[in-house]
Amino acid sequence: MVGVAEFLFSTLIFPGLLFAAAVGLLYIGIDRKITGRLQHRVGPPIWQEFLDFGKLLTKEDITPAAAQGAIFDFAPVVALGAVVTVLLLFPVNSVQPALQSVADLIVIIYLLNIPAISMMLGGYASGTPFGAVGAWRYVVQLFSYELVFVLAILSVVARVGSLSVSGVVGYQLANGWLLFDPRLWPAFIAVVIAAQAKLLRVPFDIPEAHTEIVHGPLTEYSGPKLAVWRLVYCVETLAVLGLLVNLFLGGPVSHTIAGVTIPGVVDFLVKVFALLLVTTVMRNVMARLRIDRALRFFWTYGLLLVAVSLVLVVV
Amino acid sequence: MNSEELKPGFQGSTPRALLENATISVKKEELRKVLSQLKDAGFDHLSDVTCVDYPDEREFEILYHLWSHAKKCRKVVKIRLPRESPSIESVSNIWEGAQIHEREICELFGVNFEEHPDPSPLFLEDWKEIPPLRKDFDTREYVKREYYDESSSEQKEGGCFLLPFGPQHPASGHFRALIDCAGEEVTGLMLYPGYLHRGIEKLMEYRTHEQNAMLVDRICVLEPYSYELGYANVAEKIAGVEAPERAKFIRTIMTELGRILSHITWIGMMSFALGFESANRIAWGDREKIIRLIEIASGGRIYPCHFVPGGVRRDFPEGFEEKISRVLNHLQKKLVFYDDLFFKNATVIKRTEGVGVLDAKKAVELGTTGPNLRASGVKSDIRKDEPYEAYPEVDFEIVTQTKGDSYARVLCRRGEIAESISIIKQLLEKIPKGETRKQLPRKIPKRDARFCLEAARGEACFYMVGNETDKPYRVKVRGPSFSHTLMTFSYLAKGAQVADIPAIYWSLDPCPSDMDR
Repeated sequence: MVGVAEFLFSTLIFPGLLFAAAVGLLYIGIDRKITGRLQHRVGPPIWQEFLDFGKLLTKEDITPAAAQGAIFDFAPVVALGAVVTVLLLFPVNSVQPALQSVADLIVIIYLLNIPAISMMLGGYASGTPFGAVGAWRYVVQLFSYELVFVLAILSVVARVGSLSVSGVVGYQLANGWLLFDPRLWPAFIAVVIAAQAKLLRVPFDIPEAHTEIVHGPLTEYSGPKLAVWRLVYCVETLAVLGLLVNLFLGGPVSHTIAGVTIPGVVDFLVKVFALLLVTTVMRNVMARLRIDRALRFFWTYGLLLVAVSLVLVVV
Repeated sequence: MNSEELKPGFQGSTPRALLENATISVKKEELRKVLSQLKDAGFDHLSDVTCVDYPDEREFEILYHLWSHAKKCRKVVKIRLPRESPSIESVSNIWEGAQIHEREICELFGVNFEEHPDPSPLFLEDWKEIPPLRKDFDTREYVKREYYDESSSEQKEGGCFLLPFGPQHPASGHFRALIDCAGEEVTGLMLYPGYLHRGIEKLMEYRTHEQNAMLVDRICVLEPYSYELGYANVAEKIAGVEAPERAKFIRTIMTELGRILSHITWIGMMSFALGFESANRIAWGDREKIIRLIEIASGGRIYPCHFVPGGVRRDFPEGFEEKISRVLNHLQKKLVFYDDLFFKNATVIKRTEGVGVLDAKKAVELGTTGPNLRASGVKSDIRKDEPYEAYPEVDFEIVTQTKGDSYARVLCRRGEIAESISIIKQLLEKIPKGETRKQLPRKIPKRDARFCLEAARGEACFYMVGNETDKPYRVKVRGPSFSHTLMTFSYLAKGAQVADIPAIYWSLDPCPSDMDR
């Protein structure tokens, strides 16, 4: 019984759905506020994402007549399930993840691709040219950043000699952050850029480039489904940046300051916030690239950077 | 209209007569020969084709307004057609850009252009009445009868994969294009203007000068001042009145402010099109500063209604000059900031360099003007070539680029903002004191006049015919965006990538409301 209750708690509350949703929405709200300040605007309040999410939930849900209903409906839910699961599989509060020793990095890499694939399916199923163009652009983009992303993780794996995130975090606890290893610097730079593409942030918001193809795969989504997509985006941001924190920035570490023990999750969230600042600034000082340029960029400079790290680590 | 001058027809085909007279009347059979001779003689830019309806004389008059980029002079070729079954040879094989003007006349006057490549309707949807710009078409009666009737719509469909670009689209403006694409490559483009077609040319025939001065603002939302200036000047020209010196200075200063306003707005739109929202928001913040100045001077933010035929409606308020200088100094500092943020941004350069390349010859052929033409290396600026208003008093450079790609057009506008700032500063030092408005006679004399000016987007022209009444008999507006959107954009878009469409479209800085009028 205890096992079931624990499982339900970790899935639904911490670090599962509720925690992920609350932090994700808050962080994207902060991202929007910072964006506003960078653009010489006041910007929305940091809880704006919660309001938007609630508003979208109450709006009318329209499925276009041309859409393939089932795929169109389930795509956002599948994506949400995948990103929330990622949070259960890597350390958030302590070295041990919520669901213990059932998975390793390879599963996380797979799960992090499911939102992308769901979005493509949703786009194709929506029955509009914008969705279709957005979806195939996303396919091309997936093939550009994914290899860089995976190879950067592999170089960490090769450095530590463990395929489990807990192993990597435990190693860093003993030996210091992997970010301080100069051999991994190129890989870190590459993986931050790849994360930008994974999260569809400028300059890699190509699949939903709104001045070209309106909102890409999400053009036809409205109401609660769009709200779920919005939530997926927020949680995915937390999951991807959290993975980078675990791999390069030491993961969650609990500190004791003046006798008070601060739980590891605070440390984790502060580190994620630092990475969020980097991606937010990046997305506000650049224009969108063209899909062929993005592909070329990742297969030349991106690949070169991770290759350097991988070779240095292995040799 | 002086009919002696028009009737005898083209006097002998001697090249000298062709070149010397500013206005030539030709017979129908000679039209193509004369126009191609003129083109060979250096009149390479077909500025506009205008049609005027004379129901009493049972004739249409078609005017071809030419301009020579080399000689810096204009020429008008006039031709008269019988009103029953009007038909004339198309000159689109001489100037490719002529086809869009002819298509407009074909639709709005019902003049048939023989061998025209595409005479399909441009603005109006399912039009079953007599062509609307003919004199016997009564707008008011039509509105009474038709306004609430639902009209059916038909659409041309075709191609393998059609991607709609507008009118409900973040980057299109009130304009629609269907992009026929194979993957990311654009294989064809179908354009559907007319979403903002208000028939301003027809509406002006019902209004006096004072009323029209309010109406011309609506031609282009983004830079109303240029069109106000054009209308005021053509009305003064036809009446033979000159505006007072101070009015001229005020109008020039405000028009240049309008140019900066338009270019800053364009920085915003261009960066938005490239997915670079920071520059968009910051530029639109600066736009607000100029709008505020316009509000102080005229009382209106977007539509100032400031210039009237004969001068200006309001003199500068007390201390306004300092306010302008303060904003200009701010903008000068801000330009350096924009250089870092936008003009020299690596991603912006990547997106625009080598995209939408337009060579000088093709640009002239298509009727491209203004910054878009100067970006292709043609040194043409009406402010210098035919100085009007207070421009003879100022010293400025014509900003040109050579490459003709989207980035060259971006840089061209950047240079023009700086030049405009310096022009206004010079004018503020020289501005004379005195009266600001002269009264024009109420009746518009029976003759015609044409006035061309350099708007922010290119050559804007007004052609006016009077009829001894207080309302103009015919006003033709030549908007630069008409050629830019319908000819230049569609030429550049073919073979580009879908992602380049907004970059090309906004690098031309089109204004749909000026295109449709």
